[in-house]
Amino acid sequence: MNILYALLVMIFLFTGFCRADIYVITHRDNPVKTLSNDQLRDLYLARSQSLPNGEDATIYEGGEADLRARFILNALGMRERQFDAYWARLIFAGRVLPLKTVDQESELMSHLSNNTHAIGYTDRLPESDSVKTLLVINE
Amino acid sequence: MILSLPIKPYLFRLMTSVCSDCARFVCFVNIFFLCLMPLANAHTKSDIQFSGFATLGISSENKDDLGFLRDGGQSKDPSRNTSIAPDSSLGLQLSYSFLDDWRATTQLMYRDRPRYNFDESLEFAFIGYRPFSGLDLRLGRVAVDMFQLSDFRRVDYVNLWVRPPTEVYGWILPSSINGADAAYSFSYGRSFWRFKLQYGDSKPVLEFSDGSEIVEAEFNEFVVATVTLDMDAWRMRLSYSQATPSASPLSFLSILADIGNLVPGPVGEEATFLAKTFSDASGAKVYYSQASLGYDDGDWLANTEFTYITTTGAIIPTGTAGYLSVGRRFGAFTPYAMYSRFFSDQDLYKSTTDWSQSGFEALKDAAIASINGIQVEQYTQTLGLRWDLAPKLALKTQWDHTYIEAGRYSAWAHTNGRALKGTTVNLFSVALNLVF
Repeated sequence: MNILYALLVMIFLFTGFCRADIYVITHRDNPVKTLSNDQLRDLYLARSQSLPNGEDATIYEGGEADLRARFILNALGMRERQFDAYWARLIFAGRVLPLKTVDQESELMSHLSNNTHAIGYTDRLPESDSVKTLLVINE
Repeated sequence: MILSLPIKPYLFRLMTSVCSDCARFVCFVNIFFLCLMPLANAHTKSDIQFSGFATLGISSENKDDLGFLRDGGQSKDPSRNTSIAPDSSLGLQLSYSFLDDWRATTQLMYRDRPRYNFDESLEFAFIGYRPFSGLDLRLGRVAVDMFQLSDFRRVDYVNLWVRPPTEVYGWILPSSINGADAAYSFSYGRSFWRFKLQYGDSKPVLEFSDGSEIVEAEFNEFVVATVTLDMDAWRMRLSYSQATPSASPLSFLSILADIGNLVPGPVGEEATFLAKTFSDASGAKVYYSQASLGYDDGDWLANTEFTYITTTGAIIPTGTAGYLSVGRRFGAFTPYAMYSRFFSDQDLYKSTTDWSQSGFEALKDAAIASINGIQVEQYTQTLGLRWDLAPKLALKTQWDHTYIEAGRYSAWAHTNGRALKGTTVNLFSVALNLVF
């Protein structure tokens, strides 16, 4: 019984270590301090183009395939292909412009450090002091 | 069996075409936006974005004297059985944002059409302005937003099926209008509301049901009012549209009027009636009402839409059309089923006069075929499978089993002789959809 208990504790700890939070980040000088889940969803689904302080936001998405899928699932509650179809509908109906895309985290950091109102996401706790975290999404 | 996609004629005609009034209007919009580019670059952030969509699809049906049509704005060939023409398309879109709140967007689409030129290939070209978050204004050529899928009906990757149901989307015209629209949207709690108003004119081109003649139609004073609600997995939409359609005069119309004036008795009276039916159609109003409800929780997808079409005298299909669709995602695979139907509320016109002694019987038959030939009454049972084989790439296969009522073949390319009795058609389709 003790062995079984120890095994369960190990499995719990192991899955806990594997679980990586996703950090929604922005320029350190952005006056906005936090974002709610609903505000983040509105921005990534083109329901709003503005930050809570009224400034227009520049939204970045993309990154490694696994990170993108996890962000879409956990932050937006959608599957990746649902999200792609949703955005294709908006773009090709001429309703909105496509989101900005990045392939790598270094590319995102470069954009964020040059644009006060840019927003993106990463699964690593930001080390650079040029960006700050607006929201942590727990998986 | 014909396998065709007229690429070469398209390219040739595209290069040699002359801009119509519509094209000149849109060209003006584009020139205006190009002039603004240096100004935009000098001030603040500006950006050019290129995107596109494509479908390579093949469809095959089992009736030698019926040709499948995805929509009424395609070339019509009753002998076409297997073809990549109805479903294949390529759309290229260029967007340019400037001065923070302005953007210009152009979309060119290659698809099967009765004729090919730059103006008709230009799906939209507009300048958009967002004075504040939530309000969007557009001026130029914009996609017409009549029904739930209208403004992206050719972007097949977006939809679950190979194509939107032809009972609702196969006969509606046009796909875009030259005019303006305004949309206001806001979030309230978990709900997202969008109100939209459009106004403009359009000149769609279509062919006779047997492909023998091209008709240039007009939809003037087109007004579309829409409200959309998104909440969690649900999406609801209501809309109302009206327009004043007209078409280029049919070649036999003046002869028909002359017969009415010169021939006494029942033949003359019927000729007068037929001529009046055509002349009254020009300037008559058409009204479209629509309601739809969609559900997508990531696993289950359901969609239903009902439309009601009526007119004060225009020669168009009228009645009630709708569909119900259900699908279930299993990983990358989504099997689905759909039932769609068009109920006509029009009676077929039947002549009670013997024209055989007049020498104009063929003319009468052509006139009656033109009136009855626009009618739609059919239902389709659909089974299909969508495979999302890679990001932004989907492969679909679909079987459509359609029953068409006698005399109401407008959703198909057909000859007049075919219209006498109802029939059942099986349509098999495979399509590869891509967005980029």
